[in-house]
Amino acid sequence: MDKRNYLIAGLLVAVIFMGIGFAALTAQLTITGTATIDSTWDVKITEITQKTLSGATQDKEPTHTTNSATFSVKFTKPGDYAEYDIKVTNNGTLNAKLKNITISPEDVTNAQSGIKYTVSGVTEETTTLDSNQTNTVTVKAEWVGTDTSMPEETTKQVTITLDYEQY
Amino acid sequence: MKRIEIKNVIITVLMVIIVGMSIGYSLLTTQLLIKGNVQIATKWILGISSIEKVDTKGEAYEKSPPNHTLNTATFDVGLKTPSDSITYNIKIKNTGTINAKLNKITVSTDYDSSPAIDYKIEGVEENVTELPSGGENNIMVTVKWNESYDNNFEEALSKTVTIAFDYIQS
Repeated sequence: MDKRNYLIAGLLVAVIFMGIGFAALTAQLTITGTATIDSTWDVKITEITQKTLSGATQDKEPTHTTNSATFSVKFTKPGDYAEYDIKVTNNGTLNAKLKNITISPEDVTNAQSGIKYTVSGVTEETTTLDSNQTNTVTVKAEWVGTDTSMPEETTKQVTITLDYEQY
Repeated sequence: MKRIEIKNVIITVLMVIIVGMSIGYSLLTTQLLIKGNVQIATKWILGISSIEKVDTKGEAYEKSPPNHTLNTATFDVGLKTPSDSITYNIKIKNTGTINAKLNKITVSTDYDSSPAIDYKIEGVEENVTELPSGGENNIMVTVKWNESYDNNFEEALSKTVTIAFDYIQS
């Protein structure tokens, strides 16, 4: 009788251990990961101000949104010019860099007569805009001073595109 | 062994996910536009509006009627006897919005022209005469056979003169 009890007990223990081992062999491992982007991308136009008016008059007050700025001026004689400062601010946490400046139409920057536009204060592929910093872009519009006759185009619009990207 | 293998698989998968997120993250860009508009609000329009004979002396005559464009005026006269002369009034109008001033008068004659024929310009003076917007200058040009010149008629008998009036913004 005792031997059988021992045998039964032994067998039970073996079964239990085997169950434990089996359970160990099939234990399920779980790794849970959570990722959160806690940085922000926020590069925008924050201000446009008249810097200089020489002979020129403002047709209307300059305006801006977060993505665009506009101005309108009138000239009366060769040599008249107007300059505007446009502030671009990085309110995000990611640093930015001015990748590209596109001016349309292209010929306004090297016009020998009539209306000419010049962009300064920033350089593509060079100017950076770190978090909480500001770039000031200066745009100058002028009637070429050496003109002695009325230009063919008496109205000229320009669109200057600034492409910023993370760096 | 199986636990290690499963762990390795899970870790590998998570790493792939993180790398993928990083790639997508680096493409953030922003495009900003600046638009400018310029208008030239003035007009620079000066031109000859008429040429008219206003005086004839002696037997001077018009070989052909005078004529003009916006930028040029021409006349062609004949002088038969010494002291003959014809005077023309050339009107220059400023129909633009910018005031002007006569900066310079340049007179040139053709080579080997008659020394007995004189031209005289009156009514305007360089660096003095103003031509305001809406205003008019009257330029008197007189061509005359100089009676005091002893012409032996072996010299040239004609003279073409070009008179240039340069106006600038005042």
